[in-house]
Amino acid sequence: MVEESTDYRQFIWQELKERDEHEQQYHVMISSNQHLLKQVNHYRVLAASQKISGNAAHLEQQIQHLKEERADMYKVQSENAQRLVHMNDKLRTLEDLEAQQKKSLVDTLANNKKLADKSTSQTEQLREKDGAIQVLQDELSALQLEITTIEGKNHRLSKENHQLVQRWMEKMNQEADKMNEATEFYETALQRARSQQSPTNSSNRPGSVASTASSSSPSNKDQHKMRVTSIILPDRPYRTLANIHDGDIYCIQASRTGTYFATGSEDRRIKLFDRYSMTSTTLSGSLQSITSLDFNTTDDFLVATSTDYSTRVWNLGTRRLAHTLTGHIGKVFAARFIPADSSRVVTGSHDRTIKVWDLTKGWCTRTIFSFSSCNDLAVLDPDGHTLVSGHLDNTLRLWDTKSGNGIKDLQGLHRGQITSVAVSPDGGSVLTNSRDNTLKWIDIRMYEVLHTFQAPTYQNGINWSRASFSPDGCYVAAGGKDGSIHIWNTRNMQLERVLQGFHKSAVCGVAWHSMGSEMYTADMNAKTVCIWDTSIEKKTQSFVMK
Amino acid sequence: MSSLDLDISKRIWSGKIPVQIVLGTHDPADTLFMEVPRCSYLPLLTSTLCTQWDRLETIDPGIIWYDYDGEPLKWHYPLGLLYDLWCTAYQKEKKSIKLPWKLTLHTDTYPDVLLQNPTIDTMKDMYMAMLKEADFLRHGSTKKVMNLSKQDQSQLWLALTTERYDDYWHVNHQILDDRTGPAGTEDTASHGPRHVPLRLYLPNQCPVVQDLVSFVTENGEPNQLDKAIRQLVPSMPLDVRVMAHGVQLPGSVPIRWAADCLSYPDNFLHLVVY
Repeated sequence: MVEESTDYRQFIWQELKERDEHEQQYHVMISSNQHLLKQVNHYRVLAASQKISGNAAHLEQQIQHLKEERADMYKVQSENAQRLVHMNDKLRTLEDLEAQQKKSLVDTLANNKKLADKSTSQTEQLREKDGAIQVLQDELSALQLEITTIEGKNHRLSKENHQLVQRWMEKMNQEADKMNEATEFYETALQRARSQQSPTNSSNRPGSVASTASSSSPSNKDQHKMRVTSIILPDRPYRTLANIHDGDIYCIQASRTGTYFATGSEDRRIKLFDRYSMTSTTLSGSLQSITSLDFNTTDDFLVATSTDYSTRVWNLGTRRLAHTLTGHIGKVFAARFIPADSSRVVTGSHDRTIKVWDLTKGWCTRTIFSFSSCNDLAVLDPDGHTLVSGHLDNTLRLWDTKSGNGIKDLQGLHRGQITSVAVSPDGGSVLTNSRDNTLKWIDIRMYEVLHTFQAPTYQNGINWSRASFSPDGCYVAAGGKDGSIHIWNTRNMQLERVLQGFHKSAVCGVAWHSMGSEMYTADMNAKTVCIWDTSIEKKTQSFVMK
Repeated sequence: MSSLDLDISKRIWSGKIPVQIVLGTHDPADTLFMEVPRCSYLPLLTSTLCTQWDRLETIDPGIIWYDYDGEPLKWHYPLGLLYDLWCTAYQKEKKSIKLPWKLTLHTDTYPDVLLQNPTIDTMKDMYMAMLKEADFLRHGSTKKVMNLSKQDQSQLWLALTTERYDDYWHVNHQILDDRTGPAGTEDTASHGPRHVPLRLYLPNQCPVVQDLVSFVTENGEPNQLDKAIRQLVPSMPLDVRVMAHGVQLPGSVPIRWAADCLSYPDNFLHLVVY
């Protein structure tokens, strides 16, 4: 069995070996073929891959290149976008600018049109004005012609007047001589009587004659001296009138003939006192406070100025309002009658004008522009050709009323505003009172300050405080802030008297009786008027009268 | 096994046939020479060809079929078997196959006589099926095959496709192990394998004969080849010859030894009778 098994095994093994030899004869060839095939495939693959890779490399290069291009494109695009934005902004700003310019152009055109219209209207106005000027010039020439004729007439009349006055003066002189003789005789008689202690209370009134011809001739000056009783300064008031007005007293004035004195007040009334009977009348009609008073030469009329911009003239005979002069555009602070012609009044106002009024016509005949508000006026000559005015700007000015021109500006006289201007009885000098607490006595012909009156106790308290010369020109008196009255002597320039304690408040004015026998003072707040006896014959009675 | 048996086994494993593959087109450049293992199958050949021939890369391997001399080749037969069949057929007509064996590759008009879809997966399934069948015949159940780990199964197939003898036999030993019974218990030699996994291929297009053949005769003696054949086909003429793996087998070969050493990789004994 074993042999058999070995046999068949051997047999099979042998067979297999033969089979393999037979079937594997092509082994070498086939294997080399396979090998070659593999190589071919390998190279093909390699080539393909190389191609691919080559391709790939080429493509990659292309890709790189394209990427670069794309990057460049992006850059360019961004630049362009930026430029676009920039351009857009510019465009917008330009558009705005254009709109603005258009608007401004429209405005300019409108403006232009307006201006053209304005210019045409103005040429029209100009033409009208030219016409008006022409008319006025014609008027002016006509008026000037009138003036020359009237002046001629005036000249003739004044010459006539002068002659008549001369004759009258001669007559008066004769009478005066006679009177003087009589008076001397009387005086001697009186002295004799005095030594005998005989109370002769006869007043000296008959001695004085109301001659209020304002002094323009030197002869008059002497006459006055002779006429007026020499003034003796008092120590106490002869009479005190209290509570006359309901409001502050602003001004006090004595009449030219000595018959009256009047006070003007804040209560719009004027109290006219009859000097002899001491009765008072009230003149009303003003709308606001009275600032100054003046009597005319014959005491027929009283002019009063007011803060209601008007000036009123009362007829003293009828005690009625005769005229109202309106035209000032500021408060009127001073008015004076022209001495020679009671129908003319000059007024000075805080509207910086001085007006000359004709009462017969009722309107202003001349307006003088006075550069500064006028506080007080005075007339230098009886015809009223020359005025002197004191102003708020501390200047004294002289004016020619005929032409309306200023004659002289006196500046630097005072350091405070001028509160009153008073002409001396001889007409050659002027007393100015000022807020710098000095009074200056000025020669009006030489424009020189003759003297400055001042005192440490004297203080000017009111813008319209009035100082005045005594009628004989020997004294000047002014009222102070404290109620004191200072009286200086003009001969020796000394302060002669200080009357204190009689007025409780600031004194607004001092007025003298035309004969110099009395002095009237008024104080503002206490509304008191004191009558001072300055005559030789002292009035011993002094009592208070309500 | 003795060294002779080992050698025999090795030779059977590494038997190769030179083959010329010709593409259906009549381009003489489209030929390929290869040496194919007897134990391999046509689908495996197809896969190799596809890698080598770029023309075949795009073609579905499921429609490729081979023919020799006009006859389509059954792809589920091992190549050695196919060759033996043709050899025996030619031998009858006193012809011999000219080596290299010239096969023609076709990619169209898949013939109906062949089983469909000769892909590798199908082949693997077919192989595993044969393996299980063989195991069942031997041991009465397919437990041995089924109990193989996945790695072993794949190793088996991989060894076959890559011609690794040791790997194959490392796993196949477990399958062929007759000592353990179906229950996995130790079994004595007395139990032994039950039936022989055997297939007879008769000439003239006869159907394949497969029947139960036991390893022992009625007497208890080990069965022999000719006796087994007689048993299967009683009407077999006496001068019949049996071929396996290209060698004629003497009738006195014990069936047991033949089954152990001469089996194909699918553990079947494919015998060509001529």
